[in-house]
Amino acid sequence: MIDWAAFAIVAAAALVSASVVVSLFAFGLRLLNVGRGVDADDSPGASETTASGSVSVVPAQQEGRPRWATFAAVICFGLCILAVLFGIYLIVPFFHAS
Amino acid sequence: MDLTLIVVLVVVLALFFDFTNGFHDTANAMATPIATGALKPRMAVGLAAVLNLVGAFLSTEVARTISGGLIREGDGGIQITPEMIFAGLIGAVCWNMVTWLFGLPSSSSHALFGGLIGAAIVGAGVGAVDFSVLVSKVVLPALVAPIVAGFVAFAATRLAYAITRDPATGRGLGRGNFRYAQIFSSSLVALAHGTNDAQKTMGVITLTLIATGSQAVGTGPEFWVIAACALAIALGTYTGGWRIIKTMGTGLTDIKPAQGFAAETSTAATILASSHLGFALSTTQVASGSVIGSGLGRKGASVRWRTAGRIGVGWLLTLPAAAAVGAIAALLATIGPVGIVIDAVLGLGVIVAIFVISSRDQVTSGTVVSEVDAAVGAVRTPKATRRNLKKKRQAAE
Repeated sequence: MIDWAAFAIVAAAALVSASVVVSLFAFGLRLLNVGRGVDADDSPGASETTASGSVSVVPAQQEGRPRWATFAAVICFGLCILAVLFGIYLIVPFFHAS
Repeated sequence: MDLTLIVVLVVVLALFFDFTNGFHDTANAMATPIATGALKPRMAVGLAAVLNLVGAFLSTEVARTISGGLIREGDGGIQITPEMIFAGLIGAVCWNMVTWLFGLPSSSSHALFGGLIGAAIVGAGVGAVDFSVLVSKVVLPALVAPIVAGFVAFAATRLAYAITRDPATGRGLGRGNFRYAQIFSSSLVALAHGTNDAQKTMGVITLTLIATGSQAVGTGPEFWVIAACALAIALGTYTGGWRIIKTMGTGLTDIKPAQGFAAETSTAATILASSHLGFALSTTQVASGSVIGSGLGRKGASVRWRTAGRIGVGWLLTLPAAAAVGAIAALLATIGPVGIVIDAVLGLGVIVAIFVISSRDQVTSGTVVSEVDAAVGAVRTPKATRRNLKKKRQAAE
């Protein structure tokens, strides 16, 4: 029969993990923007960060952004990288073969 | 020596199914990054192809359990014949081609199951199919997948927008940068897809080899089977189902980087959670649900429910339609070798016919790009790549 408990667990796990990862990356972006202007437009590609020429995810220290914000942003992105690695761990059976 | 001929036919058809599976499912991982410009179309399908190729070699777990439960086999059950598998594959391939022609993202696994079920009913009667397993393993997950993924993507999109909102002005802060994260999230989806989908074909070929006595019962797929399936799905992925990419990337809702990242993360999270904690969900259905969820999650975005409805109808039809074709093919196959030949010719005819029809209005990487560019081009500043910056500097001098 249908295992509703398994269904609920899957839904909850997916909700929590996706929310955490997306929030972390969003906080990272938000922290990088501490002390800077808002997007010229919400459209893709029109944000000030891209227009100003920072290609990397973690741009160099810029005027207006306090050091703590950069530090916290790097931590957020670091946790995102960990999440990606955990995803790869889950995908590749070799790592968790029982 | 009919047996060897039929085995060759099954292997060829299975690999072609794998190929259609590949180009059918490129969209699951890559429709959203292409739509937001996170990855260039050719680059995106190339990346997905490589990850599918790698993924196919990573595991054979799914291949070993492919026939598990759905069709009663072994003692007291039915004897699976290569003819039935052949007929089932014809059903699966034909339906995959039809849905591709209409640009509908539909589950390749459902097409495969449908085709095999149809063939099994003709070959061994209705009793050959375990309908309670069918409902709990195929029908219900199909309803659950898009709802769960849609809800997760909705929540994730809301969070992404709430966190990056400037409290003073209510406008976005650096949202375009979600594009960099999209490359990783979509790659995870592609890798997860590779470890799953190529295995279905490996399972089918291995099942055939075991059924004909070419391979010992209970053994896993041979290396040449794994390699051939991996190559077939990677090639299919690289060919890119642009029609389906267009539907998923731009047809359901207009996707912005934050939404794309939220949708892909939700797809990856839902698939990984389901495959590790419970039942397997269809990647296609999860990914479609995520895109709709992210469309609902952004203020001002609208979901084109007509397109969503068409996709839903496609999902409902997939299993019975593939089953019907599989059943007809199986009926023909009961005539004997002549029937198999008729099957093969008819199947080839359908495939060629669909390719001919599709060439009338081609959807290529170029078409997809131009449409994306048309959508965002008006407000888009050139990407700050080194080359563009150099150009800018040169222009200033």
